[in-house]
Amino acid sequence: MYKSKQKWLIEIIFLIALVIISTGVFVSHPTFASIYPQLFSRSNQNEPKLDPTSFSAEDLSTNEASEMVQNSLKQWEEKILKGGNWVHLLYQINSEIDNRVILPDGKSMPSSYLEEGWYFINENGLVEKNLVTLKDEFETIYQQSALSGSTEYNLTFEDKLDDVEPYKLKLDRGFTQYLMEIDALHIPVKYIDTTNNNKSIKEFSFEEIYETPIQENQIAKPIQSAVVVGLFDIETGQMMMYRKLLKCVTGEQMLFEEWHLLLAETLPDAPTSVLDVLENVK
Amino acid sequence: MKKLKYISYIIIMVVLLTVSAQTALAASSTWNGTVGGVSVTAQKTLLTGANGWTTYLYSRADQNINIIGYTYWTLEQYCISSGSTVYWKNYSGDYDTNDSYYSTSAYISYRTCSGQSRYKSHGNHDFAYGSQHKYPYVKVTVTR
Repeated sequence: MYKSKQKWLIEIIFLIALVIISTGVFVSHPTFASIYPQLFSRSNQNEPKLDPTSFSAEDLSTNEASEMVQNSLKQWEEKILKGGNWVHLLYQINSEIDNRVILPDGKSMPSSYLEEGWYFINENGLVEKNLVTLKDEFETIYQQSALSGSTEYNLTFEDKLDDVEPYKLKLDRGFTQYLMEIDALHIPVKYIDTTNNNKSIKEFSFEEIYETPIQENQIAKPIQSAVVVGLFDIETGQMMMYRKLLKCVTGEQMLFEEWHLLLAETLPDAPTSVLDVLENVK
Repeated sequence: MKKLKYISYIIIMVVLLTVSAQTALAASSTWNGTVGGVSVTAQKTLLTGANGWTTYLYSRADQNINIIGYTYWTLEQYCISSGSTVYWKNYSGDYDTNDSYYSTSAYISYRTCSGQSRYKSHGNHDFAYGSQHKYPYVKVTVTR
């Protein structure tokens, strides 16, 4: 019994020591490379490979970049997120990676599609109601969902999610959050002022290079790095495009996700067809 | 060997909890029970990072049992603003025999979304010892 107690005591001391040491190590080295390098540790040894014609490129810290992005978005939000109005957004979403979603008819959902959303903005600037449709260019619906009250109904899967609170529409679809979360990794962000179809554009790009290749669940080959690009309209602040390429250790590149904002408008009313759907799901 | 596995497990949990406190969101869900008189634990953990999310599945027993693993495991990213599933994958099951520990993990890059996404990792674990067989269901979700 005594020996057993002594053994337990040693084990407890060992565990406490382990926790203290681990915490100390991680506080001073937030990437904790020695434990899970393949998942969390990144390196900035190699510069992002950018368009060689982009002679006006400059390096920014992720902090500087996210501040610029937030300023652009603020400008865009002030224009488009008007309380008591509807925001209508249409995105083209492209990917070369299978999303593995099986629709109720047994068919796979394509990895490229249109996402059309009608969002009612309340006086606090939050989305209170919406109707969002994932579809193709011929109006074939893959998934459709309606938020009404605090319940969101996926009309395709006949599923519902309760207790959904009014939410802030992310007009950058998470790009700013991405920049802020990689700040600790000290990855340089390339910034370029450029033009596209006579529009003045801000282009932000960066490359996360993994010290140890990541085994991504959706791709057979290990991933060496992710190359991310975001484009903003200088005049309006609107985020127009996002692209994330994954580079395999074999040198292949795959388009993980790309989106283009095709249409953005603010209207006092949504079409009757949209209001009818929302009315019927109550 | 068994002790080494437990120590590895503890180290992983310490890593996850420490990281979750500092840089990311994490959640864990656990079921404790017995099979054929042996204490068993089924656990899933989900951790979000900057670029993607990682989920771990653990099945543990106090001693070697006949079967230890899982019968199915489903991973999902549900975009709340569009009310749609933008990533979904199901694993049909895997197990070890005459062992006390089974673990597996998956790393998935985020799909973009105009609002928050709900990340879900769920499914039945698999424990068999003697004449008893149990399939506890464990689900873990994180909204980000």
